[in-house]
Amino acid sequence: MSGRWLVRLYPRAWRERYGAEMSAMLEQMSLTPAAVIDLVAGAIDARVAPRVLASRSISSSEKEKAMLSSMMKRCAAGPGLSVRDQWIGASVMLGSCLLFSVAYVFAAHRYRGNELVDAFGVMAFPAALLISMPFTYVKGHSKITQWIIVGVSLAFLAVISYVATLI
Amino acid sequence: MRKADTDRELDDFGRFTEPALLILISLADGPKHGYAMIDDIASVAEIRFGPGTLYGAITRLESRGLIERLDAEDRRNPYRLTGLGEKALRARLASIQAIARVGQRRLANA
Repeated sequence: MSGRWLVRLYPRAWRERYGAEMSAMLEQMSLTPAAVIDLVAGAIDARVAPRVLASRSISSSEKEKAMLSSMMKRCAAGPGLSVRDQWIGASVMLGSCLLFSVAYVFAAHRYRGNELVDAFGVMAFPAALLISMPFTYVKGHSKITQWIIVGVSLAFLAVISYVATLI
Repeated sequence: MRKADTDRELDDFGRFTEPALLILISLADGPKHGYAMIDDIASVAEIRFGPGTLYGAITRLESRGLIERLDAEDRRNPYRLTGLGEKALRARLASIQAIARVGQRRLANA
């Protein structure tokens, strides 16, 4: 199976510069699960720390200012979020958190000592945060990117939460 | 031991520091495209980087001006070391060598 479709997870500017050569490389190699994980991690890195647009024609101080401004925007409200988006994101996060907490209390009462239930309790808050991401930090990205980022993160969170309850 | 300025080029590469160093080493004997770099690094260091890691490091090296892209050959773009990249590689290897010497001396005296 070719992994060329995974290149679509990368930002457009990145794909315009490196997409063709990466696709050519992926045609030459077999797509192992490790390679898929590596590509997904690379795509997240390219979105979190975009360097392709940092043209060398821009001075260092301009780059620093642009980076600082971008970081401040992301820290404050995510990329290009309106007040309405922030309210929706916060509501989804708090609603999910509340829902998970109630579900956990109910499940813990019914299946006392079950590791899976404990793992669910551990991951309730971070899972709620992840579920709100399509309305906040990954808003504006394609649906497939949102599904992959949230889905992979939730799966990873579930695994480490379960492992944490076993230790 | 004070680090030379050229040895600081890879300092903020995070988890891409080792891949970036191995890419610089791979390009030290001439330009290579991505897949050739993976093969070369696997034969030199017995580490096979995934494509995401390789291009994460390439993106950083290119944005720092340590490597540069050459014209495409059949959709594959070779990369080569720049003058700055060569200086950074020499500085980093000298630093590693100095650390290795200290470690070996201490082990010999242990």
